[in-house]
Amino acid sequence: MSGGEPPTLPPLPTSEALFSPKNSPNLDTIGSPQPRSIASTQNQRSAVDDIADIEAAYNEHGVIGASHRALEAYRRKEGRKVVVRFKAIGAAPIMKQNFYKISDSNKFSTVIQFLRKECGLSNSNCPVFCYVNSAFAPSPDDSIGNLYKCYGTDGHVIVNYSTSVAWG
Amino acid sequence: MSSDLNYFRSLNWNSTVSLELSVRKDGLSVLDTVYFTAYRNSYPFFIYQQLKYAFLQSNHSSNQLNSINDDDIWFEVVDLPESNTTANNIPDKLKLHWNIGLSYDYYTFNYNPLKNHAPPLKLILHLSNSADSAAAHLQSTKLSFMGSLKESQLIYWGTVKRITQLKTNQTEQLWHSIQSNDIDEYFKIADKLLPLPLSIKEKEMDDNETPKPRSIPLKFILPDQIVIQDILPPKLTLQQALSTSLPLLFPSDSSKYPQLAYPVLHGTAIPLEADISWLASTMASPDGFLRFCIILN
Repeated sequence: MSGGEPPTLPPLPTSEALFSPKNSPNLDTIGSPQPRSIASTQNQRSAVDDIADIEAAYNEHGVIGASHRALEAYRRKEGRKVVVRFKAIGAAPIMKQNFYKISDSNKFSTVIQFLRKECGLSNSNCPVFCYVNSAFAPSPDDSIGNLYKCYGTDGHVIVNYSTSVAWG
Repeated sequence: MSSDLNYFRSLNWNSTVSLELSVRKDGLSVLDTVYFTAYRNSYPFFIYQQLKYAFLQSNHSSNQLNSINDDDIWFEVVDLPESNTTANNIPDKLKLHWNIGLSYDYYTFNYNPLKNHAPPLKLILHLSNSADSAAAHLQSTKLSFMGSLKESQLIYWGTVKRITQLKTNQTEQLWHSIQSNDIDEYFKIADKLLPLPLSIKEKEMDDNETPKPRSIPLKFILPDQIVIQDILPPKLTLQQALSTSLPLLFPSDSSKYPQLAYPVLHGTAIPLEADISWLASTMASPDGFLRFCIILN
């Protein structure tokens, strides 16, 4: 089995200074998602281990063994942490701290729940609408890992939240 | 070429799946078992609505029906192999924001593969007592559709302008076309949103007419509902896209093991030479995403 460390993300911004108004990323200039570069697919150590394991499974058990070993690699919770940065829109309550680390295997619904709790709305009927990159509302089912991979900016996922519908 | 496009689009919109629905109330008695043919693009809640008005109403007293809260209903997928249903007997709920065609492919190809035969997907329609009563189903189906349509727009064009510029009645028309599975009404609006195949564009369009899409939005659904999402450049074959997004299952030619899975879209195993931008223009879900079920060999 692979003994490799899970792949590490670029260093996370830890000091609040990084998020001060002066240095904070300007939402207007945050670009649209770019297609992923094809060249940079596999150079991480755990992927190399996985490939070796799949080859071994293939030699021993054929295609079925190998495909199940490959599936296991995709299922494995990577346990990477992603920074989610919250930004209130309009009259939405403001959070004490606006960025949090969260494991990338979580679903977006966890973020919504967390946000409701932090804003003191857990037991209220007040709706909370969440958007990524000021553009669209992710499905509660989407994993943080997918959102980070597709829409992450500078090591974090930007979640805009509002108590009324913001972007249609 | 343009007629090819329309042909494949209408295949996509007009194809159906068969369902075997046991209707249960309060989790107890089976009221009825219904065989139902549903358009692949329709959402489960629409199926419930059709059943309610067309069928349940004529077979059951209005008393029984009046006590049903539309937002309490849910679908359970039955007939799965033991290993799949999670250990502690949690029923496998049908995802209400997946098109029924996608659920059909996911469950049939993964767990009930019969060669050259498309068995009905067996579901239980529970009329009450949902474990966790969700929000209003119709509203959340619509929100989820509009949400992923905007997401796919952002990926295609780098902006959601094309949607925000729609007039309210156009947005309503688009949603109505989804509810009524009306392909002509849908493409009246969706032609403003979805890319044309590159080959058509080069031949028939002026260069400045419509910009080329930047990227293609893809979701790969693996067994155990593992979803891998990716954003890839348009000029790729499916083979290239798969070996980029899922390199372990679709290894490069130099690999010491063969391809371990195959992609299914709208009930069909898709040839790997297919061009992903062509697939996106012809066979994407109405919300613009290309969603493949990845089936292990």
